[in-house]
Amino acid sequence: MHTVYLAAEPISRLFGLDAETVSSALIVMLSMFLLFVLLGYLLFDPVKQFLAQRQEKIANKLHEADQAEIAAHNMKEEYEAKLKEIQKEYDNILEESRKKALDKERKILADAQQEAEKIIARGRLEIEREKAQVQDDIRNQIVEVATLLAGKFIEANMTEDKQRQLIRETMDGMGDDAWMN
Amino acid sequence: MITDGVLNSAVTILGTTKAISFDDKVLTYFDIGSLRFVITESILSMWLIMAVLIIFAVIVRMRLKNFKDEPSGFQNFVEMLVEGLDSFVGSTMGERHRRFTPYFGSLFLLILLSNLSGLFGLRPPTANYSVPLGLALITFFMTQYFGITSKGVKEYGKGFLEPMAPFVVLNVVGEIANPFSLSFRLFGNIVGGTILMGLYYAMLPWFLQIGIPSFLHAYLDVFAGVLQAFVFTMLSMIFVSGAFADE
Repeated sequence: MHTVYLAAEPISRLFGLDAETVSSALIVMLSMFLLFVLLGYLLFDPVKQFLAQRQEKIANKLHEADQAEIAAHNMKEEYEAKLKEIQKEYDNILEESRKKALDKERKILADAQQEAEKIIARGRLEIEREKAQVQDDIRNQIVEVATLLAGKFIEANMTEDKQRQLIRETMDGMGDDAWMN
Repeated sequence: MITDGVLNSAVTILGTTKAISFDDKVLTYFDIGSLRFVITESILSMWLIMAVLIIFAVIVRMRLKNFKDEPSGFQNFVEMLVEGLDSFVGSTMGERHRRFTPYFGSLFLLILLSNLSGLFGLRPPTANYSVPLGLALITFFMTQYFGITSKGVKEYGKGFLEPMAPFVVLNVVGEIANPFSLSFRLFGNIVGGTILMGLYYAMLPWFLQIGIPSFLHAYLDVFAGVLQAFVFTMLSMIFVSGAFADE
């Protein structure tokens, strides 16, 4: 049977179900196996490996980024807490400084008031002294004026009544109000 | 008319008779023992397509060391291709069977380019029944191998007795029918498109061969080609993943 088949020349055809189809199918199967091995070795396995490595790399980077974000978040919270503490300390210092300044201000004002009162008292005493001095001076001047007038009366031969009238008029004109102020 | 697998037609248009042949031309042949191996135009086309795929893979392998974390251009295309096929395998067979990506990826690329090769003037390899049969037989053997290794011979054999013992004949026939239904679906669609396009070009006058065939090519070569590549690969993946024991 086979001898007969091999003796004949194969013919071009569209379709057949015989040993020739099976043998061609074997060629296809071997070719396909070769293609699978080569494409697997040259294309699919290396590219899949590359993609897996890149995926792992990206996953690691994302993990690192997450860790860095958490660390940054913690650091931020820490700094914020520190800032709050600093602000609190600043407020305390400011409050204390204000209090101190206020106390100092009050003390300065009290001292100034005391000093002013002293100055005023001293001034009043001085005024009293000056006043007494002035009164003495005026009295002395009055005496001098009176003496001068007396001299003039004498020179003009005035009568005793006239003399007295003049003295009275002079003394009245000068009055207490005039020389005490 | 088809006689002994040979389809030859004679078409008469406007008094002119044209002889049309859709046969897969025999280029050479050799014998190993009592078996004759015939190299036809389709087998040569398949090897050409395989060579293109292997050259592409070699280029990828050579340029892989220059691939960057931020892909662009050629790297984008390669990543999209491999990731797309890997996702296709993962979504159809399940995540645990992603190790089959190299095989089913290669299978899909080979069938896809074979179906589209008609656009480049090649005879589509899948229009030769040996090609889809060979590919379907690989799926068949993989199904049996993984069924036996994952379930064990006893459990695998019990599967043929479901739902009850008398169904064993139906189950065996159904199992054997799988590679034939798989291969004939692909072969029929592609050879049908090839014959239709051949008839169109042979029968119609030259002015109807400008522009209009592009729509036929878009449907018969591109749409049907991509669809059948997808269907064949997906069914193969379903058969193989179905052979594994449930986890």
